[in-house]
Amino acid sequence: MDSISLSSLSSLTTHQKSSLEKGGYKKLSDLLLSTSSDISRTTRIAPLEVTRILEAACREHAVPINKIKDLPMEGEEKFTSGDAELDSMLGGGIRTGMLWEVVGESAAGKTQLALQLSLFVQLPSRLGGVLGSAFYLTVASQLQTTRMEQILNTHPLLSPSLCSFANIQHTSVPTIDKLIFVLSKSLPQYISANNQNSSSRPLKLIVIDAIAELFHTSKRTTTQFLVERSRRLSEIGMLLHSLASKHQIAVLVLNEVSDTINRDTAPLDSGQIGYKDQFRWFGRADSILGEDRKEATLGLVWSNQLNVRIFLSRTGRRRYLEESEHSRKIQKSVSATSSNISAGDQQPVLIRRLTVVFSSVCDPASCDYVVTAQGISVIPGSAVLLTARPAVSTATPPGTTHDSMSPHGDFTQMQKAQLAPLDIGHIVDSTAIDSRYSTPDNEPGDDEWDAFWERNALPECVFEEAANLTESS
Amino acid sequence: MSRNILLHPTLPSSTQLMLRRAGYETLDDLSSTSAEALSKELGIDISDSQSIITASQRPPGPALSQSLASLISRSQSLACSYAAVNTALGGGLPRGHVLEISGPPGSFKETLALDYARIFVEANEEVIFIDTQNMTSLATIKKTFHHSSAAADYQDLVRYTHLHTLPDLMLFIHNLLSEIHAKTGLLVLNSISFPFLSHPDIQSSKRTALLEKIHQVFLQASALNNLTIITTSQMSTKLLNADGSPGNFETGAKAVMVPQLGSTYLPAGRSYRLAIVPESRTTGQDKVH
Repeated sequence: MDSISLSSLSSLTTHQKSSLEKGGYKKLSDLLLSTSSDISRTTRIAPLEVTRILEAACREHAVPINKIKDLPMEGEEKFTSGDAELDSMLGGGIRTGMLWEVVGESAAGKTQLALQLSLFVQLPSRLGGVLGSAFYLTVASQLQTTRMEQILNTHPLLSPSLCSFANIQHTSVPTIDKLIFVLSKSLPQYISANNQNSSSRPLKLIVIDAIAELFHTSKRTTTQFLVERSRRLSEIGMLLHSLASKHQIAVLVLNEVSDTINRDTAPLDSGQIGYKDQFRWFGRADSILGEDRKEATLGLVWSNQLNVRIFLSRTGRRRYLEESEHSRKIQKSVSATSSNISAGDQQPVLIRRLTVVFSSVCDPASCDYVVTAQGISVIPGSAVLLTARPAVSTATPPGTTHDSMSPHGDFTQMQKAQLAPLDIGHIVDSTAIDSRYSTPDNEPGDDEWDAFWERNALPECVFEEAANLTESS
Repeated sequence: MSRNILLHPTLPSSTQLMLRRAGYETLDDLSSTSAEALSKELGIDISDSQSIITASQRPPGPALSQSLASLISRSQSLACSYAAVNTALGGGLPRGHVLEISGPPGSFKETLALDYARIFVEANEEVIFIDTQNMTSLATIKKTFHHSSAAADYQDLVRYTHLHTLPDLMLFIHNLLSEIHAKTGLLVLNSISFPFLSHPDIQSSKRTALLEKIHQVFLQASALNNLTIITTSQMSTKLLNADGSPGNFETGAKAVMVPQLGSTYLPAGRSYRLAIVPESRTTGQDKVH
């Protein structure tokens, strides 16, 4: 769409084209995002003619909407995660053409899974792969090649003859702008160069490790700053979805968690849908005790972008894995990791929890897993479905739309609404924040402020006192 | 028979919009004015205003070319697999209406939209299915029709494409009326809110203008071509003060979730807004506005 210039349209006269250009309209997308009256005003073309121009241009570049029988099948291509139980929980494996998120604490196993998948995507289809290649984008960390080598050498399905590091491209994307550049320019170029080279593998997996690192916010951010960040996050989501569907790539994004803080919020009027209430269903996992102490960061804005959210938790449980409980795969891998311990000894193994919070291709489910030398292994038989089909009831009819709410309940003990910072950018507000030109990451004078705050960092107690002051007033 | 101008089949929708904007709601309003007064008020030719008045007086009835059977089938309302949704809609979704299904991530909005698609296909009608954020792949559609009586036909009756950006969406909207024909029964836009995120810096006045364009096309398609339209929408956060007035972050007391686009794009009098509200992981409620 961005590449369709108005000058290339055959349905417009030269006079029309020059008038449009004088008005500042170069591309078809410029026209489509403006109103007839705006176009008419800036180009001095009569409104009726503008309408005809728009219609003709749109017909000329109409996108054919084909019957399904004339389209190549999409959405059935999937590759294994290396663990059959996990594959089955995920609806058959990792499907391409979708946006997957793996969210969890550090050391829960997110990077392990990403590394593992970068290897498994390379396998031939008879072993569960798609003969693809991977592109691994790191934000703040390094690519853990040593760990990847360990997985490659220990997992029974993988072998150095089938998978290699040559099939995993790596780029560092330390800033939001860099990531947007890679997603909008570098990757499409890489993919088309790849397609023209018949001997190279198709790109089938993109990993971003980890998106939250780009959006760490500090206490002194302004609402405008957060609005800006939030918009960039949406832009990133759109670029990822375009890449995923256009080239049938599985996009895997790693995200971080923050502590869940349970605050009392104002009671809701009938018909209102509470943010805090809803967040616990799509932002947290709660299949076992303690799992909901952490919640996904980046708020509703980011959650809306995802097709699948997989939540990894440490949970702090340890178990001795009994003979009857685990298959040989775990036994072998556990002894591989604890090679210093004699075969007779049994060490308790850290059991972690994996929950599919929501997914467009499978039902929410949970299981236990361990992280071993060969990567992530689900404990056989531990998978539980969290829901079958949703059972739905009707709310008592609310009547007319609720635009004016009558207050009830005690509002004197009100706490500030607790929102993920980035959701502020997407607030439906009567005083709509009109966009300006996108603000650069560093405005002039920002560096000075940064330096000032470094030197004069306020102690934590100041913020506490300020909070106390506002509450008691 | 409704006297509401907007439901009048013999007046073109552009005229209906013009009349409505000038304050004419029903045919009775029109009957009290003259052609001259109307032409002055609307700024149109007197001959045009005369034809409006005569057109409005013609008794609205079914076009003679439609068969009785197709009339009957075309006037039914559609019941999906979920009893609660049907109840919330007062029995079913009437044809030629617009339904917006909104909900948080993980609510079954896309499944519901696909369920309606199945109903139309089983009635041997064409469905146009637009997917914007990879929620409903061809594989998912295939799976849905696997157990349907129309398993053999869906590939011929369902037209499908991806689009992701706002210009792509507007291009589709501009071309919609030429894409549909007599056999097209349903348009599914899954989700309609997503393309608006591709141009987050667009001014709110421009955004509203684009939503109004969508409104205009939806009205025409649903009123004149009897197209049923189903959109799914993500939600945004809204901050409300204690008294219910809109708040901001500094003063906001509670955060609620509302459909992202607002109601501008939905033609009044022929739209439903269904919000799916999970109450636990397994149950939820539908709320209809």
